[in-house]
Amino acid sequence: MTTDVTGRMPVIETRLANGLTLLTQEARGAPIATFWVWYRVGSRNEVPGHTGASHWVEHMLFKGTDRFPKGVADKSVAGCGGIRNGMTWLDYTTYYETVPSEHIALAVAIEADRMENARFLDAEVASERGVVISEREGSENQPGYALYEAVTSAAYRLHSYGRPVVGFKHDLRTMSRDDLHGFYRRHYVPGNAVAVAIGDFDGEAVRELVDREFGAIRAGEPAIYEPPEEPAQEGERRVTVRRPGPVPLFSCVYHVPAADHPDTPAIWMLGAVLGAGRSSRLYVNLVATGLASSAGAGSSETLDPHLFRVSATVRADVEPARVEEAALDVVARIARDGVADEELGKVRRQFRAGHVFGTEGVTSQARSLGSSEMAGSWRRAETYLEDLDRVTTEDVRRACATYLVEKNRTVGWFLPEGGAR
Amino acid sequence: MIAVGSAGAPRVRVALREATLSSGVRVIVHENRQSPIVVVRVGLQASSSQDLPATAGLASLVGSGLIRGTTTRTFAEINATIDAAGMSLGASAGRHQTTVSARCLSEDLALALDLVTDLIRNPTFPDDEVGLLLGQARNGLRQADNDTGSVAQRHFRERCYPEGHPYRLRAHGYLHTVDAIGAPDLREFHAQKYSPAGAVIVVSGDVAFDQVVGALEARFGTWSGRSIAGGTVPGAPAPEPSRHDATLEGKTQADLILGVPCIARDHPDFYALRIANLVFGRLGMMGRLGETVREAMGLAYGISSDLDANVLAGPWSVRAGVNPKNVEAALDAIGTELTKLRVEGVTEEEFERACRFSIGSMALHLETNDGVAGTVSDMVAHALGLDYLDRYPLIIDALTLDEVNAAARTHIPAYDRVVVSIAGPTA
Repeated sequence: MTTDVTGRMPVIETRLANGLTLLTQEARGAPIATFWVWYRVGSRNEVPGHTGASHWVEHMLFKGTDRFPKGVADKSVAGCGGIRNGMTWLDYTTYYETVPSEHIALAVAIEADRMENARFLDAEVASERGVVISEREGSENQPGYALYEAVTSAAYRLHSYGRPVVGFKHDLRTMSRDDLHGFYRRHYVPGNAVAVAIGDFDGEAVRELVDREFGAIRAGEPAIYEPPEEPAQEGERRVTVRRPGPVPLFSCVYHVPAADHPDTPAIWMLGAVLGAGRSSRLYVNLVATGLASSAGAGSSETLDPHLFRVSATVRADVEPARVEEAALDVVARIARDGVADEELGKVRRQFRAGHVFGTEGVTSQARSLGSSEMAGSWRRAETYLEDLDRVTTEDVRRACATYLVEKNRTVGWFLPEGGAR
Repeated sequence: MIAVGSAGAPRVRVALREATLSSGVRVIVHENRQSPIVVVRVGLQASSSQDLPATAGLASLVGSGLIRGTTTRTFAEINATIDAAGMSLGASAGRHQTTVSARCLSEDLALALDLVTDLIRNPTFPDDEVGLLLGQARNGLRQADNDTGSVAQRHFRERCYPEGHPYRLRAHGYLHTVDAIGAPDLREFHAQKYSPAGAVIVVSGDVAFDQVVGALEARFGTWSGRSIAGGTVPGAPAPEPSRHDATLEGKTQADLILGVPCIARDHPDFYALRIANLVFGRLGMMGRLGETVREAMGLAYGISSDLDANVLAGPWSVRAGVNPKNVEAALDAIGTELTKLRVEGVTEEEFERACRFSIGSMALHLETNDGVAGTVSDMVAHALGLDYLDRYPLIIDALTLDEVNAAARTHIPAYDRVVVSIAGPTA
């Protein structure tokens, strides 16, 4: 068995008879193991009126089963010194436990059990309605979130990526217990899930353990939902959020292809050239010039075409229009003049170092592997450095000139009301 | 060799070796050859506790300003060097120390040490760069003054601690204090407060002890500077119970915080009280508070309790974000749980689980070089001794349920004695 440059053992992919995919990787650096189950369901799979269903179902899977009544799994994991959590995003919902490695059987048992036995009691749905609304209201307090939601919504006409993962408040107030339970039944089946185990264990023993715990779960048929294709944008859109607030915020988004598109590595390099570090184009031109207090850029790894974001926090004593002009000029210059070889070399080095840093903890490794699998293939997490190495300066210029253009952009502003600039 | 763990708990081996440089700077090294990564953390005595009320935020600005230029490098050159190596380099001032830290690939260790040394010993705080830094700081303070959690925290501390107490001030300062600070103030603070006295360098990662100590001796061995005189800190008598409501327009949710000044890290009841706090507002789904206010009542997504035992007596507090119409119900529920904790205490089962968590979770904390460096820095800051990781499970194993409940009764306040601070929209 060979290891990669960071000394890690290889990822082994297997599949259970009921369709569950399992990725295992031994990591002997520390006596810790992490176990995740990823479901191919997120806000991408939601229809109008039921926004936030994936996220709310995620919360309901912490409410107990017959085998692990409410609170028991939390207490059992804590009792062995472990941590656990769940997360919902555009393309996925995921759950994990990271524990001292001799307790991995507990994690596997908890995840297998809640794949099909979550209770969804009426009283629990009622109390959790208040919790998810509270989570949304905590985000609403933040000007940056208000702008994020407004600009994302304005960028999409049809595709579900335009709707918030946490859901609209109206939907959170009106969805029923049966809506949520039905959503759970449709999407939580082995064929729609990928388990990831990384840690200080014998891989074969863990594969047998997963087979024992998950093997008896009915195969089921994963619900197929293909969101409507987003039509090409044919002109700039603009959106403004006005409310009392501290400083203006700028966000400009562009439609870019899905993770498996050949241009994606060049787009990631473009994001780093623009926004990674204090020698990046945006920092040098916006922050170091005193126009903004922060600036950034980048895109997500997604199953369907999503958005490339350029953002900045405007200095209170600066006219907002100057920041928009400067940011768009930075983008235009790359589209026109390209980037230097040294700039691309610097960005490659940043990605390579970031990759090595990311291999330190089993939890972060499993997260990287699983999120890549949800956006197409876990192998991208293993090979993306090679893909980035093949990107040329002309690839970056062309990606910028192709996607970061006026007709493909949505410009968003948060502007403080009441003179509280 | 130091071991973490006890019967039934995983044993994590963290070998620490120590040296002292000619300048008196302590160096503590953890050799870890698992990955080609090195983390360096330098702890310095300069801190925000040395800020005066009129210049609150100065220590923080000095920490942030170290990177803005040195006698041999401009800010832009430092940034280009950091990014070209893919390393991270930063500095920040805390309540009782300033930390300068770097994380790099092991092949870049010499470069990282050069930069860390340059930042600490040779910063110039150029006028133009300090001007930019101050502008960024003002933006951050405006954002903090519009954030419900930050505003609630500010009023809470101002009601818990008297004038002149370092924990009363916001470490990042206030708009009016930052407006009064200039580049000469940063230079003067650095000249007076940055010193090898009490400085500790922790290195964790792919290094050889002798080599890294030699490299540090070459960079810090000749560093000289005077000791930093500790100021007189006024006592923090139990504050009068009070409630403060701040209104922020444009918000949906209110943030509430309640609590009192509690104990310092070196208080004999620290470990017992930490177990009680784990049970009350942290463990599992945020402890008993989470089970009632979140899980049973559905009032809050986030609620937890925090024991901030520091060099001085930091606050014990409960925080929650709730809809403004639910503030009173949330406060009532927290009050009920407080009373229950003080009267009934924690159960044997809760006590044992919290103890197992405290010991078992050490393996997770020590998984990465960042985790090791942070833990060791904390051990040094509180003079716990380099054998602390070995002793820690024994300390927890020796606790009794009676001690935990006695600590809770002694240090967790009755509900009618707490300071309450709320910031949010009108209900």
